[in-house]
This record gives sequence, C-alpha cells and structure tokens, in this order.
Amino acid sequence: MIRLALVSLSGYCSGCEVALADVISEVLPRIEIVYSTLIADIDKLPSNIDLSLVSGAVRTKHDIEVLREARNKSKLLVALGSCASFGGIPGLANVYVVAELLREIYGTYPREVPKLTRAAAPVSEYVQVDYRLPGCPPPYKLLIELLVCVDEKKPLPKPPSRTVCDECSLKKRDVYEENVYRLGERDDVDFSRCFLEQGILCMGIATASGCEAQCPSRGVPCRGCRGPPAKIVDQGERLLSSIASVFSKIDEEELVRKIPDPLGYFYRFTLPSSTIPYTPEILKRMEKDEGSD
Amino acid sequence: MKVVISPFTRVEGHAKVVLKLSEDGAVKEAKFKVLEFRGFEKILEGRPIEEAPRIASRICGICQVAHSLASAKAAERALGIEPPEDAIRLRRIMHYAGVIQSHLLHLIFLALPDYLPTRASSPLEYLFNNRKDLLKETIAARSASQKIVEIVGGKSIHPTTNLVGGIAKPPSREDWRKLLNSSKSLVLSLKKIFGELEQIFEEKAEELREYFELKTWYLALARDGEGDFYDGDLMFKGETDSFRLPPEEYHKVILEETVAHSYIKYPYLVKGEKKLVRVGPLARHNISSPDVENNSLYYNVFRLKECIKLADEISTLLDRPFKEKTFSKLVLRRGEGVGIVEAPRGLLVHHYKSDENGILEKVNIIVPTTINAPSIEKLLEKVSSQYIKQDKINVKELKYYLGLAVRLYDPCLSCATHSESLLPIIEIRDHENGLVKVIY
Repeated sequence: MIRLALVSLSGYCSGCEVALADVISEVLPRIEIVYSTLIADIDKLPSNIDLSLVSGAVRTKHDIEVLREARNKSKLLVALGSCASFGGIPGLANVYVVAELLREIYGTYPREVPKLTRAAAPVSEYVQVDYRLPGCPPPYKLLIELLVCVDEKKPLPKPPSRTVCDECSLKKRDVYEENVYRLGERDDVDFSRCFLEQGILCMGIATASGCEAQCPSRGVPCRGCRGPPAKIVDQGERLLSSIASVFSKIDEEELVRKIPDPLGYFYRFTLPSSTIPYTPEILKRMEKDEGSD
Repeated sequence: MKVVISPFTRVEGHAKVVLKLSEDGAVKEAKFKVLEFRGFEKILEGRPIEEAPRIASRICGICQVAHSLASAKAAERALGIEPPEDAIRLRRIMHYAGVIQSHLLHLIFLALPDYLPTRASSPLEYLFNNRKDLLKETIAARSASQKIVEIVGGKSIHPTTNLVGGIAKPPSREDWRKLLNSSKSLVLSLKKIFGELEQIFEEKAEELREYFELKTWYLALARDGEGDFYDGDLMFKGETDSFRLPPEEYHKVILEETVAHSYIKYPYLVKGEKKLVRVGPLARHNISSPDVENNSLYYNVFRLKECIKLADEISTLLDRPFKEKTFSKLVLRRGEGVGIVEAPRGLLVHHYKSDENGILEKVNIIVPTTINAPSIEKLLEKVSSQYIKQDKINVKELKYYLGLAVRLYDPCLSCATHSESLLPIIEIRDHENGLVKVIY
C-alpha cells in the first residue's frame, strides 16, 4: 500500500489528476490517499509519505512552500506530467513580465491574492525530483507501471532514450517534400505516411517515446508533450536542428517564413526547463520588476 | 469580523472564502477568492490560429473537450471555414461524452461526500469500503465516456484530432462499432446509478430549499428555442422576461470587472443596471422550461439528468458510420470570430482575432466559473447569513454549508484563471477588517 500525496500546484489544469481517476480501478487497491485537496478533504501534508505525485508548474510563492514541505515529508517525489516536469504550456507565458501581464489583463495587480513567482518553473527548479513522468497527460500505462513499481518496491522504470518516431508505425520513405505546410493547409494528407515527409511539422523526431505515437496514429502530428528523450536537455534546440536538416533543400529565409512561431512549435512544453528560458532582455526587465512581484 | 475557509477542498483549483461581518455581527459580504493565475489569453497570442485548439484545451484537464471545441469554432468563424457535417456529428459525440465524464467526476468524487452520512476525509475510501457497487458503476460509466472521447479525439484527456476545419481523421468502421459498444455500456451503467443518486440529490435540495434559493438571470445556448450544447444563440431568461442574442454580440451584455481579491474577472449581465447571471445545468434547465427553478441545489439534480439525456443523444448520433472526409481545408485570412459552446459548467466563450497570416492577435476567453463567480458570492452571503452569529459560530456546520454552496457550481478554478490557480479557505473578519478566525 502506497501512502500517496497528490500535490497540485497552482499552474495545474487537473488533467494529471483526471488521468489518475481514469485508472483508479486498477490502482485503488495499491494506494492510500493521505493528501489531496481535489479528490479528498485532506489539506495538511502528513509525515511519512511514500510517494508525492506533484502536478502543475510552480507559479506562486505558496507553491514553493507546499512543494518544499512535500519534499521533506516524502520518500519519493515524482514530477507528474509535462508542467511539473518541464514547466509545460503555462511556461509559454514566461516571455512576458508578470507585472506587465497582470496590468494588461486586470488593469492593475490584484492585491489580495498570493504573489506570483517571476516565471512558471518546473518542480526541479526548487526541490530534488526522484523521477519525472512527463506527458500531457502522462500515458495511462506508464502511470500504472510507476505505481506498481513503487508499491512492489521495484526499481523505477528507465526514462526512454528512444523517440516517438522510433515507435511510430506511419510509413517512412526518407523522401521529404520541399515545402512546409501549416496544419490543415493540405487536404490530401496521407494518414498512413510520416507527417514530416509530407511537409507537416511533427515533433516526434526529438520527443521521448512511451505514448505509442498516439497522436500520429490518430491523424495528427506530435507536438512534443513528453519532452526530450533521455540525455537530451534542450528539446527545442534538438527539434530546431533536426527540422532544419530535414528541410535543408528549402531556402533558409523561406523556411523561417514557413515556421511562423518557432517558440510555440519547438518549446511548447519545455520553455522553462530549456537552455533559453527567457531572453536576456526579458531577464533584465524582470530584475527591474522584482519589487512588484 | 471575518470568516476564512482555506484551502477549499474538492474543487478544481485553489481558492478561499472570506466572510466580512458588520458591527452587529450580520454578514456584510462574502468573497470567493481565486488564487491562481495562468495567462492563457496571452499564451495564445502570437501563435498560429490552427494550433489554438490543442493549446487551449490545456486550460482545463476536466472540460478540455469544451475548450478545444470553442477554440476551433472561434477560429473557423474568423477564417470563414465550415467543417463538414460529419465533423460536427463527431464533435457533438465527443463533447457530450466529455460533459458526462466531467459531471460524473464532480457528482461522485467531489459532490457526493457532502450528501453522505459520513464526513470521511477520504470519500473515495469511504465509497470503496461502504458503497462498492455505486463506486464501481460510476467508474464504469466514466470509463465508457472517456473511451468515447478517446476514440473520437485520439486521447481522452486533451484530445488532439479536433482541428480548425473539423476532425483530422474519422473513426474507422471498426472504431464506430467500438463507439456503439461504449455508448451502450455507458447508458447501462448510468441507468443503474441514476435512481439512487437522483433521490439523494433531490432530497437534500428540498430539505434546504429556503437557504439555497437565489433569484438571478440565466444564460445558455439555444437553437430554435431548444437548449443545445454545441451551437445556437445566447438565450437569457429572468423571472418574468427573456431575450435572445447572436453569439458574436456577447460583449454587449456581459461586462467583465476586475476585482482586487481574485485572479478572476467578474462578469455581470448589463440590462439597464448590473444583474447577476448564472450558467450551467440550472441555467440550461431554466431556459427551456416554462417555470424557473431558483433553488441552487438543483444544479446537482440537473447535472445528473443531463448525463442520461446526453448518453441517449450519443446513441442517436451513432446511428450510422462516418464519412471518409471530416475536414475542411485551412485557408488563412485576417478575421475575427466568436466560438461558444455549453461546457459542463456552462457557457464558454472563445473570441479570436487573427492577422492576414492567420496569427492570433487578440484573444478573449470567458469561462462559466467566471460568469458564476459573482453569484457564488451572493449565494455564500445568503447561506452564511443563516449561520453566522457574532458570539456563537458553529464552525463545522458553517464550513459544511459554505462548501456545499460553492461546490454546487462545480467551480473550475483552473479554467476561471485561465487568464492561472483557486483553493478555498474561510476567513472571518470584523467590520474593521481585523481577522477573527481562519477555518481550514
């Protein structure tokens, strides 16, 4: 029986918790929920937690406190999902300065609410993480596997070094279209063939395996939610260089024009854990802004 | 004097409740504080419009289908694209299944504990040990509905096949058969739990009617006078009056206010003067019913009834397999579009402006919990007025009633702060704003 804490940070969408609810009949006999403010009424972290599953990106000062407390009281702390692992989609807001963002949305800084951190960040920026289970949400199979390993005190599964491409069943001919299309711009897509070869951006090429290429198999290209495969730090950098070499026949300027939002394509889930989480200009503005956050 | 409940459990996100008392100890105001912030509108700006549905679904892991659909619809209006008929049929199937799974998640995991004799801290374990049958059937029904979302959407959480222009690849004949099977088991499981749950929710609703009555306007989508989850006009209904508006004109009547105590913006219906307006299962019932039900506890009763109704509609929509083409080609242009659907918690608005290259220039999103926020506060005020006396506060009972009041709306704070996170706490503050008591 695992004494399980579900720690949901404020940059979360509940999708990871819903994933757990989706597999609940398989894992319920193995877990005892000792902390959750979502599916239980337990709002104090007990001591002796076997496993803390942390979801969401770190976004408020309060998150940091809860996270540190969970770390101190847990044998194992796992970053569940892409937000806790890499910062996730909420991390795309890091290109803005918090105070500017709030001023634009609310006209003023809401006063009676927890202060935001300067940027959305992965859990590992604040505490030691024993394991990451990325995915948006993490694949059911891997979530069950993780809980079984913890319950049976087996070593945790190795992070995958293979890519989504490696496990994708779409046919490849190593012949690439000399054009890049926006998603949906082609209405003659062959769903049995590699998207990238048809000129449609697909991020499987530098994304960790484990999802069984779920999206490509259902007619849509990968957007990289599982993050980089083992040993690669910067998924976006790897994607950028792979895609540039795949379309090397296209004129550079033309290629840049065809990919209107490199940040959103290549760093969609990993900007806060990348080697370029913010531009120097933004960092400078953040420093100035320190007082208001 | 001021009462604070924090953190608030069994709601999606982080929030707290603050009650302010006047000098004589009566409740002066109740505030529902949303403590999260995520900035999705800004996250979407500057992105290619065709990528929006897949990013927007990440606003919420519970009503992701609704966000994905509202996003695609807004983009399609902006670009002038009409998805094929079968794409709409698939979207409806996925949408209805998404609403059912969200409703069941709320009813069994979040709401039901308020109706059970026990105050077990882990309701899931209580159900597992004492009501295995009910838990088992609810889980079976939820699994079936998630399976339907997965077959159509490619993934049950954050589906991916829904694109601007339709559904990328239609389910095969074999998948259609799987959908039929899941739809059958969904209806079967729902029928097994419906009677008992209906009785539980209705009894409480009648027992506490006088505390939970709140007169407001109601707003929901309607097509040809009938309530609709996917499309239609905005239908407003008050005690004696009703009116209708095309979806694009939502901003003429729904005004958003910024408040200091929350990361939610507060919308009001503007009709002459500011009026409270509610959305969700209660509103959807009221706009197509001859009488208006103002008892907020009926939110849960209608939520349950919607599950049955939508499950039947899924069966009807699955009467034939799908055509090969469920997608209309993307054509980029400068444009503006409003996409509105009925999300599980009520009306959901996505409003996009794109440049000539199909890049999003301006995004506005209004989620149901945001629309309901002022009414949540009003209901808290009403309920707490019944329970607070300056010298003697029954803390446990107060927390119970306030929790019940908030959860009726199934507030989704992840959504409401799309613009970030919400966790209730109850704080009691006196008329000079001094903290009297904090209830966790």
